[in-house]
Amino acid sequence: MESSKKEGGIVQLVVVLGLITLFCALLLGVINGMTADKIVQNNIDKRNTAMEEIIPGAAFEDLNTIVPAPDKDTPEISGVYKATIDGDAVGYCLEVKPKGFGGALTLIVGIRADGTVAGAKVTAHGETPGLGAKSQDAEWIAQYVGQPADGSIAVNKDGGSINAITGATITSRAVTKGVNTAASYVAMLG
Amino acid sequence: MNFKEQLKAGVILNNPVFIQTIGLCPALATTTSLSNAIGMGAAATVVLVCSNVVISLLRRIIPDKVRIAAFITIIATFVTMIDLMMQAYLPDLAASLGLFLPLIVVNCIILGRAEAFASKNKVLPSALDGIVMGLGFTFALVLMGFFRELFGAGTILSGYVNAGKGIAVPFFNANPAVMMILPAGGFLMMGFIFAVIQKVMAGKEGK
Repeated sequence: MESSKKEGGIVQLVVVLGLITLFCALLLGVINGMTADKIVQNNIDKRNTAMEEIIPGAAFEDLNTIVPAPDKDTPEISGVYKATIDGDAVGYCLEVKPKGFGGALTLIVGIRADGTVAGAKVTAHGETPGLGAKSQDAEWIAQYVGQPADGSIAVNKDGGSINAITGATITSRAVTKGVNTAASYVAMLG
Repeated sequence: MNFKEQLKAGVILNNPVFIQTIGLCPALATTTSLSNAIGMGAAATVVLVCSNVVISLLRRIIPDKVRIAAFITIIATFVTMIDLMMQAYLPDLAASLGLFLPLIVVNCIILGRAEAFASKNKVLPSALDGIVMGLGFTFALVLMGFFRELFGAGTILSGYVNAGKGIAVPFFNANPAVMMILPAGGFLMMGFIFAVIQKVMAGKEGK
């Protein structure tokens, strides 16, 4: 153990703390510059992989559409992608952001042209590990495949057919709401 | 004190969670499964070692009056750096650790070791202290996570092995006590572990 008595005047306090924070800020700026593009690219890759899983073999055209949340109960639609196979429209993939237990989820929802849900996938979330985070389970989310895309899907607690995740009803409802919002938007597109 | 004794002290006799009772918040919140516990423990250990080394290097420069502000700045910088790097180069791991990473900033163990040890000791012992305390923290989380996952979900290591489903344990898997992976179960499990440790320690002192 060494003596740790370092009193220092006000100038020293300001200068030392200022230098430390300045150095840290510069370092973070550099790291952010190095990683920002890569993180954005990772997210795009993730979205493309999810869309490819939901409607396999399709080409996706970004319609550059964003629908802001009209009220606090309806989630934002942050992206709409038209799916085509060999030029035939087969449906849409939408990125929606329903509010879960730990902030907004990012959910990719596929709607087929025949009016059924092609699938859904959670690509980003802040849900509790072991509970709400189970919404990422392929097996659980597979329940949505083939459901009618008319906004009528509900979890079993609300009288529907989706088995909510044990201990994570809020997350289950959020995913359901996200799928329904996507379905209603696609129904509106016709 | 040699490394072996220091290790024994950090992991068992002076365990940060069970004996020093610091870092209880992450120990309760992030131990819903064994794999979460391992992830959080490993991430906290890396930050602890890095912050201990830097704070030890700067210990003669940082004035006492602003030391806490300086420590927190350094710790937060490391956490943000690791968070960004993981999001860029290890996106899967970053996704599974999610909110835990930013939480490390407010982990009392890291600030506690900076204040109690790294700011008063040379670099090498500080790095060792970081490793030992990090292992102690990880050990505590793993113990909690193992039992909570076993009782609450009936599995071991879900998320890592067997295509993410973990090893199903007979009996427990058929009768999961879901409460154990809910917040209340965290407090219960911690209470049980504290009780066992107190009993064992009391027994040792009695001899």
